[in-house]
Amino acid sequence: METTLTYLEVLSRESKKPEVEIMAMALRAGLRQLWRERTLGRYLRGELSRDEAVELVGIDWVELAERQYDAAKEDLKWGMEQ
Amino acid sequence: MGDGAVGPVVADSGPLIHLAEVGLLGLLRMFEAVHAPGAVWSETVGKGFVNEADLMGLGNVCRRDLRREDVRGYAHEHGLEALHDGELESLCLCRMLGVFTLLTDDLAVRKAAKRLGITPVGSLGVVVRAHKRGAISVKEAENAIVRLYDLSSLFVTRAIVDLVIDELRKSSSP
Repeated sequence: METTLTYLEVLSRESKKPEVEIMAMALRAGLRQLWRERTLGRYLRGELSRDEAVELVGIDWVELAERQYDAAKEDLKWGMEQ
Repeated sequence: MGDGAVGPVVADSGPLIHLAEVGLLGLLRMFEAVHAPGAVWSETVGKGFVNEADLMGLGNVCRRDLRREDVRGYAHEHGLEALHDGELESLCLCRMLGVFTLLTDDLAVRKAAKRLGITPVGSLGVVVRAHKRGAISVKEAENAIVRLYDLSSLFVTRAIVDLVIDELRKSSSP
């Protein structure tokens, strides 16, 4: 919590915007991130096509999610070895 | 606990930092040895991300300083000049020691490692193996993975975390 308040104070001071505006921006940014993660999750679970995911969040995020997914699958496979 | 230790590994900075951030450095005890090149030491201990006493307290961590010319030659030989010092030294150290497992959370390093015949393993893999060996319960493994996502600087999307946890539960159910 202390870190959050520090972020808020510093961002407000440096951007010369009121704290309430910074909080509104943070809410929008947070919601965008949550929506992006929901979309990528639906794509990785096969609920969305690749084209649909690309249209919704952009090719960069889709490719990153694919690479992370491949890495996670490799980690799982290695981790499950006896 | 599984029989014997897991073979030796070389560690890049990422897993050392991420595991330290969530208080899970102790999981590294499962390895026969954890070799960390000098550049990784500088990026972790040197920058205050990992406590040296905690790392050395594991009892199986060895700092390995490499000669700059050896690392440069290795980078040139394999076209790895774009990698950072710690990443490059980690790959170079794998070859010098004949170690074929590299702990790394960096996607570019994973790709380079596979090209060089080295198995890359990330922080998630360390947690899963610790569970598989009986060092932590499935619940502890789930918590560890969630903490890596929520609290550490490991960059991974939530969907991946959920998928790993699903697989972990499936593998642990009777």
